[in-house]
Amino acid sequence: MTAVRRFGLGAAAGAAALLLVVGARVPASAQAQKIVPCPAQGQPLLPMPEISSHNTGKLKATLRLIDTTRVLWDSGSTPRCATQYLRVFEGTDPTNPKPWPTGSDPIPGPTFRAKVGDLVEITFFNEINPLNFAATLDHSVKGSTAACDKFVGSTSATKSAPIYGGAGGDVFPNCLHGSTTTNVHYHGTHTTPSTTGDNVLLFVRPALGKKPNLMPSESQTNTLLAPFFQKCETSGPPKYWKDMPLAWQALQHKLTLQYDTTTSMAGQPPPLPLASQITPVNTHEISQGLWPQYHIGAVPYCFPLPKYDPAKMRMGQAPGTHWYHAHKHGSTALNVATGMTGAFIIEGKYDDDLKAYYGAGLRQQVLMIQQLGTAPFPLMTGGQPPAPPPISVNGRLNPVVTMRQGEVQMWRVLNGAFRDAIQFAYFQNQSANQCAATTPPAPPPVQWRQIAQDGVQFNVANYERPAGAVNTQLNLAPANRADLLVKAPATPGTFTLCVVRNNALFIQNPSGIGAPLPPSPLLTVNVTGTGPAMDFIPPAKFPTFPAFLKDIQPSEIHKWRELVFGAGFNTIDGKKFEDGVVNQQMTLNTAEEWTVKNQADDKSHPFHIHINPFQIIEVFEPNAPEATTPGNPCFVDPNNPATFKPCPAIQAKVAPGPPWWIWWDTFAIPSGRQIQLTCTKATCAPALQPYLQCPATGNCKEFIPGWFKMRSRFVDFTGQYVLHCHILIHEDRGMMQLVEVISDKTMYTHH
Amino acid sequence: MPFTWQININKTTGSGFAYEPSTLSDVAVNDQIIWTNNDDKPHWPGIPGNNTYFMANQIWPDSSSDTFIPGVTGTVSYIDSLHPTAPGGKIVVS
Repeated sequence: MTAVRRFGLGAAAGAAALLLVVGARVPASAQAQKIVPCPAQGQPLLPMPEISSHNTGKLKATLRLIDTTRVLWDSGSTPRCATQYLRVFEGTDPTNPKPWPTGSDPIPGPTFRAKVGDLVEITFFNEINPLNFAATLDHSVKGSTAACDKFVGSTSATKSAPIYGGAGGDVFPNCLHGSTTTNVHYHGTHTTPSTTGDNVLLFVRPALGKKPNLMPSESQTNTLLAPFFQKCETSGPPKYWKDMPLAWQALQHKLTLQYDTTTSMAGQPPPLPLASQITPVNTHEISQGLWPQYHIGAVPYCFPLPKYDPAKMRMGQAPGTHWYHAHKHGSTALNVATGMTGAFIIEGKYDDDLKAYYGAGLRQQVLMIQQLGTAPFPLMTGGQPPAPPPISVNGRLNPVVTMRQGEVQMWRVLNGAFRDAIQFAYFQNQSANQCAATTPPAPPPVQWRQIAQDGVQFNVANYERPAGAVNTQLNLAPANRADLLVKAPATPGTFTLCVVRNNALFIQNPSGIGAPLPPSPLLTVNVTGTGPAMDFIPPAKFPTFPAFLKDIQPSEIHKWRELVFGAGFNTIDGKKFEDGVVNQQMTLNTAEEWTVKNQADDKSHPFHIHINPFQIIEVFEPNAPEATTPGNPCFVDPNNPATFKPCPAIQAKVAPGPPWWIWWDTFAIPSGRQIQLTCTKATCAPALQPYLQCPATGNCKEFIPGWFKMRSRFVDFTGQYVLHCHILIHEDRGMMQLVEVISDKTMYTHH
Repeated sequence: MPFTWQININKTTGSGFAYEPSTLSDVAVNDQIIWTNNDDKPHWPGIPGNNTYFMANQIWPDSSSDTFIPGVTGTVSYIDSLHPTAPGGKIVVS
């Protein structure tokens, strides 16, 4: 690495003086980014443009990552709004192309709508101009900070510091980096994690050159990839890079070389230093028979959404509300924060059964919750950090959903926020931009019943029980989804849905560490006009539960594991993400039971694993109100480890059953409890020893981790993918593991 | 939540260059600022004689800078240390 030249030591040193005049003002000049009036709240909900498979069996789409200006709002005490460069998705349906909305609202990407059994055929283009964003690089030496994003502050302590730097701070690859590079994670899909499937190990750099002369161009890409998609339709996703069209292989190689030889790093002239070049990485991977990691400008995604066939598969794709979002390690938080998300609706018999009862009269709302911003959060610049970004729905604050009197609608709610959990608290009987901190109205003016979680429908037993939210609290951790049937009152009016942003702690202890913010409006329901009488679907008509979603029985369990999400430092099992290391290896077509623990006492890390959903069977919440109240049957006594166990009264709220455990793909691990003791390692009670962390001298601290147990089937697809915390800044900084499902078969015969 | 602001360094006639905007206003203390070098030669915005403040590296042509976060209110007057006689720019932090 070339030595960095220091500012002020050359000929310019001393040529002028610092002018820092507090309070001085000068006239503004024209600029693309500028302060603008804030959009009014209470505007109509924006429906996202949809790209559908049109009952053809193929979801064909073009998905573009572009940079453009949209109006964002901040969350300071004096609200201000500004036009900001965002990196956002836009989409085109090649069979029915339409212009993408050009308004100033920071809307999510297109909603994809496919059916179980469809083949997904998406050509993804990265067309952003990196020059509109801070310098950022993809690749460097492990353990260094050379390729980590840096910020320059006004003190010597923040002089060109890595973001989240300092002693013991972030180092590559677990630092913020490479935010102009991305990929697409199809969150909730049960498909191959390899090659052109839900492969989050890809790095797709922006196309080279400038518009309209990007390399590769869209037309060139479409031409070169046409035979690939044709082959995928008959043979499925490719297994090897050599299966791709030769011209595409050659073009990608040429472009990675061009990137390496024309890119500047740290102010030095090209080429990149060898340690940061990407072509050698690709060359080595291809020589080993692997799919190359780095791509320039475009990649094709082609993978099935498998329909359950017991003769061929152990599970199928669950029909439901899924989503897609950027997932490149080191930039997931920033990219999702700038809006790189979209809904992915996969329809199946679940939808057919709902339609059979309601007919065409069941209107749907796809509600993408986002927390938009252009900077990492929280900033580590010292002083009081700014408030987290506000919560928007489909690009607007507190938008209005219109319902008829007595109408039932299906709401597909997705928490696409990069950081906060969103708790549905209550509807209040007024249209307001601020939620009253009062007792929720009873009976609730707008009622709801949950029918699916994380894109997997409820069993009717849980609909009846009910396992989900019924007019009460529903807490969606980042990445959680919920399908709700929402019923409007029989009389007209306007009603505000008040929610609480939190670290997924509210369901445990609203007055404890990490207590939530006051309720704030998420959206408003305007009830007007009349229509056919509607009601919640009766249990007898509830969608049939697929056979492949039957409960995982103890007799199926092949292996048990324990994972510990750490307190601070973004670790799992005491380590940050280890590039190139497989942390968990599972055998194909087996089921496992995992205990996932959380030592943090200030947040519930949302655990997420790709490809296969899981069932929560046990939850231990040591910070639940019942668990912290002496005398309560659920009290967790720090002096008595025998009380460190799940309590039915608490568990019934989040993991009712059996039978019919609920399926999830993201679950917030209950926070742990930490108690400063007044005994040393030698003097603390023997029973507490497993829970102690003690300094060499001095008193110990007791850690009572929160945890859940889950069961999952690792079926149908081999390959490497990841598990991680879905507070995405944690994932970027190391709270992630690589997992691999290996084949349960061998080609060898033994005699 | 902070905003991010971009200052373009654009080539002008001859060997000249200009900051666009020349004065960046309405910046909050925790906002982020980047410089984008659209010129064909390196530039190095900063405060001469103060090497604990501003860019650690020059900005190569056709690339952008790291993020600068002012941290305090006031008007920051900066120049290009590689072209110290050229007109500078201002950032107004309030």
